[in-house]
Amino acid sequence: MQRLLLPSGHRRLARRSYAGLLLLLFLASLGADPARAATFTVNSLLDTTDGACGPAPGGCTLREAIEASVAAQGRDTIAFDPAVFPSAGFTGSIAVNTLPLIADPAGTIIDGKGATVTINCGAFARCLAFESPAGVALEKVTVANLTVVNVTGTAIDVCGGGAPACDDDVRGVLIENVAVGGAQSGISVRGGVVSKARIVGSVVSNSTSGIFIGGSRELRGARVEGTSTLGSGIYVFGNERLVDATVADCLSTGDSRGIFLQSTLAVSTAKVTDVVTFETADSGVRIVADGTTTGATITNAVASAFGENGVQVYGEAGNRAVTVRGVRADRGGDGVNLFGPTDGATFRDLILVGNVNGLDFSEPGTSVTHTKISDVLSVDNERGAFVIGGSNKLKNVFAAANDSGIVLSGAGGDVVEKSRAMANGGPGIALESNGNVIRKNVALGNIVDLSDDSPTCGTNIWQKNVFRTGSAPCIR
Amino acid sequence: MHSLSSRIVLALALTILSAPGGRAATFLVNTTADGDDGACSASPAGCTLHEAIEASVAASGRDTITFDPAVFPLGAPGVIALATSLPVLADPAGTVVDGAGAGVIVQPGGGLGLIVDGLVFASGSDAALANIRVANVTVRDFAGTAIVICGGDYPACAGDVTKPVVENVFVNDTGMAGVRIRGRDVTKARLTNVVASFNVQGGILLTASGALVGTRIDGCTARQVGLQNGESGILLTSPVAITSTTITSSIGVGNGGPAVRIRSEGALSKVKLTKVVATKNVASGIVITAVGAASDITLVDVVSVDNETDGVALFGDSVTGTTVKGLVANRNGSDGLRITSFATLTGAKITNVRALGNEGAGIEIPVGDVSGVQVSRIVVSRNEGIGLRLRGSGHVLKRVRADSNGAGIHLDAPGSGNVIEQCTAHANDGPPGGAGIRIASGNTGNVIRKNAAQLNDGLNLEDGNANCDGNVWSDNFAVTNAACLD
Repeated sequence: MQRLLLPSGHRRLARRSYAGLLLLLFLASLGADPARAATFTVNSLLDTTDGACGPAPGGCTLREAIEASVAAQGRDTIAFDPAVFPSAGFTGSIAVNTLPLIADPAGTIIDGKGATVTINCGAFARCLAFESPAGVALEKVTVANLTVVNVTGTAIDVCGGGAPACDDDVRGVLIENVAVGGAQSGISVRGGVVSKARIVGSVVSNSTSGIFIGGSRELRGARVEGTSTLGSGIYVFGNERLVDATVADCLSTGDSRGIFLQSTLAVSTAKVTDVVTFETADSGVRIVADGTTTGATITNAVASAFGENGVQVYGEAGNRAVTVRGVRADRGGDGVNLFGPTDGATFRDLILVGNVNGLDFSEPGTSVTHTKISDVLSVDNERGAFVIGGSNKLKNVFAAANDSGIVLSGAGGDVVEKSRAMANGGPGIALESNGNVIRKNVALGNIVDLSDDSPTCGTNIWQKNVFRTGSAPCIR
Repeated sequence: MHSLSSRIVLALALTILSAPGGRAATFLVNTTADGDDGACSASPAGCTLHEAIEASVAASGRDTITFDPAVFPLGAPGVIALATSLPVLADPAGTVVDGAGAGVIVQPGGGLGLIVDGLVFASGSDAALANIRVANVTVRDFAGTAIVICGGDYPACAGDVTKPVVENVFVNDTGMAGVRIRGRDVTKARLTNVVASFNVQGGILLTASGALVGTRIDGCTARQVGLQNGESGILLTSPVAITSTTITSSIGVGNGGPAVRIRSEGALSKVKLTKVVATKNVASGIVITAVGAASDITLVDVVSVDNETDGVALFGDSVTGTTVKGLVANRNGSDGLRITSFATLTGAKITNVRALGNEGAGIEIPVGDVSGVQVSRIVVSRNEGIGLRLRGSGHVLKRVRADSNGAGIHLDAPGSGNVIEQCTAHANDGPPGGAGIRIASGNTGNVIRKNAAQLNDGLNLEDGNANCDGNVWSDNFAVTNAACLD
């Protein structure tokens, strides 16, 4: 084949033209393929159907758009006409009866961008319900920029396979800028293996159940961000495994639970950061596995007025690589609770006020080892810090005005240094174990400043502490 | 021979230490008794606390009173039960009373009421008092104040006090205060690891009739003090000025007044509170007041919850350079954070604040000429009043989450040129109006963009100006009732 000789500038132009041609062909192929996405624009506030979603004024209701999108192959988009749903100065809504299932395994986009869309759902079990046929995964459902109100059942229900089982896989769900008010259940994403579900910038108010993302087998890569649940909570669940879940920048108030990340078997890499929970009957933040947790991280969390724990990491078979940092927990059960055998955890920068226990690592089945606990203020709790385990290091823990200050039990070998125990109604620092080193602490104004279960201090070393009263002469 | 030379050296040393015109002497208290034979000797039981104080006052220089650990064992403290009031430690050069290595408790012997104050340091006739140090003792059960450090004559205290140190001290169950430092100018007071509990009229009080400068308080606890007179856990007052104050890792629980109250009738500057906890106080948690100008007030990682009035209240005539970072103010009887300027407030930075479930507003800056306030990364929720309310101009509110309050974010008039962006105001449902984001009539020229406000009982976005005059509302996620609101 003879090579076409062109000047260099012309060669570049030719390359660009060739690339442009390829792009045009590609785009044309997209438009020509009936299996590719179509867009259906809702231009009516009504809830009727004549079987067609047409562009004529009032020619496409939400019901018709859903029917059309289900009938069409590909990942279709349902949009809303800004002329009918103006982005400003509009308070109208679409009042619907039970809408058709949005049963398209390729996924569907419902996006009110550029418009003001409120769907008033009424007394129906599900409002926007997405499913795929049994045995088929449901892909890439997106709901964005709209409001759903007055739902007896679930406002947005994304279900892999058929309800109620929802045990087929769900991938790539995105719920963004959605407001749900007055629903039994706000947003639910359920499937067998649910991967990369994201709920961003949304709010659920006055619902019994706020946000649920659950995999009956696994949940992978779930993310809830910038979202409020008011009168309900956030529940992220992977039955067999919960992997790489993140809840960030969220608020949860007034529910049985605040923010829960849970698996019946294993949690691996779960992160909760920059969250606030308030008035939760159960706990504020929990990362829970009936098996093990690995890489549970809770940072910058405020939990107030909780029934159980402000923050808890619960691995019945064990916890590894736990990090809890920047927690403020006041007025509840335990401020920070760790359950299960735990090794190598880090707890830092905690302020715990007015709880049953400020820091509680003492429940039956819990043993905490090689853990660093530092920069803690624990105030006005029944117990400031209660740790069962061994070889832990407590530094700069300040326990004041509790019923008792810092209590260590278990295997021993702990180090407590540069800590303070002040004005506690019981002992300031109390040892119920051996082989500990307690040095350079200050304990004043407690019923007993420093206490050792052994009158001879056993193998405990007390040195360079400032205190006034001790349970034994060997305490220095 | 060796023994003789050792004795000579020892004798010389003792002579130097106790010489009337010499340097500091040390007097070792070696009895818990309270007699006084006029001498503090090293013989067994030869030096009572009374005698040690008299000897230290008689000796010039900054003398030290220590305690024999054999008589005052650490862990099982020896109790000095006073039959009469101790002499005033009246030495302008200062005195050290230090129970380090020992366990020392000083208390009245005849029950509360017979003896007024515990350890009293003064300098006499308006002379300055310097370098007092009280450490490692417990002083309790006095009808008056446990430890008094007084510049000049006691109780007038009209002289200056410089560099008083109170450290590792427990003062409890007194009829008045735990520790009181009082003088004309009080400079560089250091209080570390002081526990004041069940003192009827206050915990740790620093009162200057002049300026109060360079106070540092660390690791102190005030528990259930001031219940009779509503006095504070930690109190700093001056009619002139308070400057360069730091309070770190300190706690006030269940006091009759605020956990921390700082009040200057004049100016107040460079005040920093870090990791202070205030809870269950029968008043506001923390109150900082300047009748004059207030500048450079910084609060970092303060937690103020369940107090009867505000969580944190700042007052000043003109307020500049305020920083509030990492505050948690929950379930207080009034506002979570309240900043009140009677004239101007400029340049405040409020970040990472959480104010939940307060009976008033979450954050409120209600009056004055307010400008240039930066508010970011805030959560205010379940407050009965408005989540965030302020007035004035040039503010930037960014990433404020004001959900489920009485109302969300309100900008009051007058004001202009404010920016509200990336905030949420959802499901606010109480009076007044339960609006999400509201700009009052007369506050114009603002930009309100990229916010989300839904499900509010009142309007999601509300502009009190006709046709949003001068306000630009754009890219907000909200159901709105007027086109100009976008």
